Amino acid sequence: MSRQRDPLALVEQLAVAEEIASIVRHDLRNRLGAIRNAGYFLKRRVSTTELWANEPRVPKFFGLIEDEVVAADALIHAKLALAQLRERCIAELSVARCMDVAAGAARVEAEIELAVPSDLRVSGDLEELAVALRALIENAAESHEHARVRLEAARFEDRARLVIIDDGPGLSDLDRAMRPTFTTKPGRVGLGLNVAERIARRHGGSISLGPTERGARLCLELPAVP
Amino acid sequence: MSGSGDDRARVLVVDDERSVLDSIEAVLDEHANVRTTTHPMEALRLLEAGDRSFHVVCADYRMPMMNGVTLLQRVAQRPEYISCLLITGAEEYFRSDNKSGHYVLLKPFSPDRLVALVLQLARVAQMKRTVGELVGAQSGRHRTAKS
Repeated sequence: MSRQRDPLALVEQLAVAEEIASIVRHDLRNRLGAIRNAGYFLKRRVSTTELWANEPRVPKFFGLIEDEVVAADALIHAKLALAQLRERCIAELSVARCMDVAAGAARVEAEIELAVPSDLRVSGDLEELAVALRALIENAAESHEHARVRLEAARFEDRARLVIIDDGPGLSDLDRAMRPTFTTKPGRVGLGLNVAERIARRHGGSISLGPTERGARLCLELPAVP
Repeated sequence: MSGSGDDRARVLVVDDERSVLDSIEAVLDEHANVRTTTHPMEALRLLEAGDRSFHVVCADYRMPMMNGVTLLQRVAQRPEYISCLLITGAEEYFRSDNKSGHYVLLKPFSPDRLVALVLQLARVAQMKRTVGELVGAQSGRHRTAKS
């Protein structure tokens, strides 16, 4: 029996790669910064000594360290962006369709209830938005063993608010949950919310935590099509 | 504000990576009195306990337990004026939703730029405190004259 192909696999893999590249870039930049600061300190101390005056390679190599660190910084800033790896297909989309694709591709057992108006539309890349929504749905579905997930959407002025609600223990600190590789779930990498947030931001949107009496309520806001 | 003696700028640097923290301290300590900590909560404790308060708090954005924006918001709520400097990469900054208006130094930065900015912010803090004291003293005199 063959497994059904995941229609969002490629976009998801690229989005995860982009997120991992961002983490590596951050860590490398910190290390290069420490080297540059240390070089600056040593240069100031050594530049008043006889060694500096008598050995021309000393000032030359301090200059080399500085130049190479700056060059390496520039290299790691040549960003690996999803947009560079795959041609995006921006179109006017029905939010109901995005939700439907995401819920259909979600790798979860949970019951998913959709209450989304058919006339709400956004502009974006269907597969990217579906990857973001799937990450949020899976996050909600894994909140506890028999989770129920509800998807809602509504227009608020010029924004479309897509809401993913679960009946789990709730989420008090979105900032903490958004930290790369943070997860409370065994066997997970902890990048789903980061991937979703990056895709939301690329579409001019954001992710926030909404008020709820029980469970978690994650809101993905996007500019709505008038 | 000079670079020597009691008049030196007092700077608190907060970063969860010790190597980054040590290297920033080495860059700054020729010009200022520098304290460092890897824990935001320890930074708040130092501010609470200090009899001579810091002029500048520099904080990295991405730290466990509390991010730099939240830490600096807590610092800005203190009664004495303290200049707040967020040190962060552009990518984290744009994701940070920083609406608090702290000064920002984007990584990568040149050490000369860090020194110049921190000394300038220390002067701003000193000036604001002096103005605050003068205004306080004047309004106190005003109240006494009226009563």
